[in-house]
Amino acid sequence: MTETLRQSLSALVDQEATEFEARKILDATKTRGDLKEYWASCQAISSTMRGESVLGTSLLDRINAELDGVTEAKPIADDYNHEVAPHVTFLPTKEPLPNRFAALTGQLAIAASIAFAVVVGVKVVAPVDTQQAVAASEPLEIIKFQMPVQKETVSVGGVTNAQDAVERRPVARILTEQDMKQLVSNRLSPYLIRHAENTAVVGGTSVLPLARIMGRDEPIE
Amino acid sequence: MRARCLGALLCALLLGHPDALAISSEPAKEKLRSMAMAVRSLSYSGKLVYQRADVLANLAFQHDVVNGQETARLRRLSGQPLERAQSGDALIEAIPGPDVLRQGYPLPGMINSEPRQIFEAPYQITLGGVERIADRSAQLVLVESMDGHRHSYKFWVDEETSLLLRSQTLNADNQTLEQFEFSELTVGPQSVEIAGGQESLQVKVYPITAPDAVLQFSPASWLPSGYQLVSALPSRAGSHRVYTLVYTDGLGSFSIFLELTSSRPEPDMQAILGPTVALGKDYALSGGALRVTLVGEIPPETGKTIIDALDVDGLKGLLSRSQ
Repeated sequence: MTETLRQSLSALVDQEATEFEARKILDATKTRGDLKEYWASCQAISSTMRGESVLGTSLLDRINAELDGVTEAKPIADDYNHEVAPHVTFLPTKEPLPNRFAALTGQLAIAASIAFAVVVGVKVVAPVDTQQAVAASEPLEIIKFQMPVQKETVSVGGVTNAQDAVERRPVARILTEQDMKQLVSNRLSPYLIRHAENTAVVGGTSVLPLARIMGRDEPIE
Repeated sequence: MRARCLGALLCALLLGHPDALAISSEPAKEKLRSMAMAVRSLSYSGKLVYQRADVLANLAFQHDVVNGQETARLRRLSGQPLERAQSGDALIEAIPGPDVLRQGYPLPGMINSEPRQIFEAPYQITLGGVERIADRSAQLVLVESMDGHRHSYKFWVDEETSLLLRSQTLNADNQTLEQFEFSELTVGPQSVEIAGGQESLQVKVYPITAPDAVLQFSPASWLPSGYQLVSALPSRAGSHRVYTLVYTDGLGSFSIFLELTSSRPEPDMQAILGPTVALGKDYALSGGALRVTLVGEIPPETGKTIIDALDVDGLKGLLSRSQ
């Protein structure tokens, strides 16, 4: 499955997909079994997070339910009262497809109108990026940055050779300590998170990598 | 005379190879092997405290093995709820918010199914005493760095199950850089609902992606011994390509992020958070920069040495071609 298709599906789940994206997904479901599997896995993952059982709602049913507003209150998993659901089960997704396409496009138009009204009438909620830029992705989780021993490397930059010295443009403004902290934070925080995630993958299911980026900012005397 | 020469030769060899001095005890190594297996094969859950400098976190942890597949969850119990989990080929993040499910950026999967064991890195591994942790009896295992390019560790391993009950990461001065300790531990399959059903969740799924092919290149003319490249992934971040390389010696690890950016070069930057060092360096190019970021649980000096040893011209060419 292509990255674009995955993103379109994600967007559709969140009712942010364009009509074109919705059409594309519907077309793809006719020929691609892996799309259904991906949908099922998305459901399974979110249900796992809640400790809930996985339901066997089909992709098309789900799309239609989203558009009908049926699942508005519980779009990811439906059974909040299911007390114990320790294991994830991937249930088969089987669905008749094409005959509801016309209805769906109409529903999409309605959904788009409602979405527009919500945006205009209430407020804009910052969306979650699907393909997050490394350099501007996550909020700051880290509380303590040790500034470089030589502070001039922050304001000007350490030039290592003559060619770079010619190419590099100096930053022509005086930075306060707060500015520098913010600069360092903006530049490095996303990479700290990415590294913790990388380490979690490499280190299997160890506690430490993810614990490092989940620390609260509570000082210890 | 011959004996003296042999002695001198032996001394020279030992001094030339610091790790040759590392004499690890076999019971200690066996304890670590058991621990590595237990933390991945057993189902267990509990509450733990993580501490680093002035950061303190109360966390709940749950590890399950279902049909051979591991699932691990970690949830923050103080402040804003936040949960991260690893299940199959995905890393999952959940925070309170409108019920949405989104896909995040891809994470590099392992390129080597059998990564290098810590016993090949210059660590000296010995047994310490037996202590009481989380109301259980734990054997202390000391893992001491024998060069300046990695941290040392203390592990308290449960005598009954071999699970890790407590861990400390130490610098060369034997100062504790970070630590965690279970305060409660329950062994066996649990049905703990970590993320309560009372709140809506914003869930983000990061797929773990094993690359089809990995570019065979060494980014630097020097890397510390004992570290092995375990994952690499070219991915896109916005409009530009990011190449991620992850190295580990079995305990410590570091990531190198390489990217070509059209933005103006930024100054060199450094952040140190407990055992983790983050270094950023931009190399100016016409119309942009080669941005190098190194983050890892290694001593800051080692990180700087790696950055300084980067083959900048080679990386510029490589990334330009793959752009």
